[in-house]
Amino acid sequence: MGLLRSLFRGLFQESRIKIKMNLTREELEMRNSALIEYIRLNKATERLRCMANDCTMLYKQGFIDNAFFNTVMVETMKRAQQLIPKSGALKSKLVQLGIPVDLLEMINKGLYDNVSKHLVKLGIPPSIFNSL
Amino acid sequence: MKKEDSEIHIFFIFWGPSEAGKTTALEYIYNNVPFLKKGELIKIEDEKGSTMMFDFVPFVILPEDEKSKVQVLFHCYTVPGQEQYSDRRAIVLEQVKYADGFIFVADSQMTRIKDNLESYKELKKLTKKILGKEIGKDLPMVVFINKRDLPNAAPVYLIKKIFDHADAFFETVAPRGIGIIEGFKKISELVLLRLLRELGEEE
Repeated sequence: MGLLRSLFRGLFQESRIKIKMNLTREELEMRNSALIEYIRLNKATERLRCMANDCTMLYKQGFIDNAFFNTVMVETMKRAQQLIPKSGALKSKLVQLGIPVDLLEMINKGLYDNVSKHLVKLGIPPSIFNSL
Repeated sequence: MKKEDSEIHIFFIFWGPSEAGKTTALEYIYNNVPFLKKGELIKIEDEKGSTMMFDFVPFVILPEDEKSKVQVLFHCYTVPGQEQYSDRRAIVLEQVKYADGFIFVADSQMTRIKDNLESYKELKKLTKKILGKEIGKDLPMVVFINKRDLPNAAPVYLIKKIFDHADAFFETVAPRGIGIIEGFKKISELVLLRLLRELGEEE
């Protein structure tokens, strides 16, 4: 039962993540590409959410039928299953490599202006945020 | 369950009649999991907040032991409860083909007893047909007897009678979180114990 108890403690408690100091050049590169991937996944999730909302609205208004709605939703589900667990699992890795939790939350909430300022500090061109 | 390199994926489905509180229960769990351990909660709902297809959120359980590299991911889904969406519930089950455990959210109101029964019957039928598994025998299930705060709530024994195969019952009030975390821990425990047994790694 020890493993089970530790799993539940793990789920509902804040993580005790050791932040790595003095990153090597390779680690810095890895951190930045992981952050770019996190941004990409978040933006893709947001697009998916908008598409699903639009589809739901069209269905409710009678513009698309049940079969078409179901087809779109199956694809939405498959895509969500690919995207969301990946971005969820990336968070702790990024924090470990020194990315502040606040920045991850801002990306998650789509606060683009604030994110750009942080990206400059990390040496990532902010234009990347719009291009993903 | 799905095993992938250093990740174990476990799948839970919240089931039950419409407006019973499936999404509310999932949201309560979501709001109590720290930011770093959860993915986005995606909800496919109409303007009134009724689930149209599914809700989905993954939780990431990081290994406490630094040497351990195994990550456990809990994937949680809800189904649309409205009677006419039987095809969609079947689709969700088909998509979540690795379903490991069910949380049945029952509506306590006297007027919803029949709806709970119909929903449970359908769950048994669909799991057998689509997953080739039986509730209770192959798939653990806990029941949230929800809306216990309502004045027209039916006696608990009456609701329990509906379910011939439930591993545990929890009296819940989803918006206030009463019984929700305990119930979720229970189903996780049941599923994990079963998996550990299957993997031959029981402690």
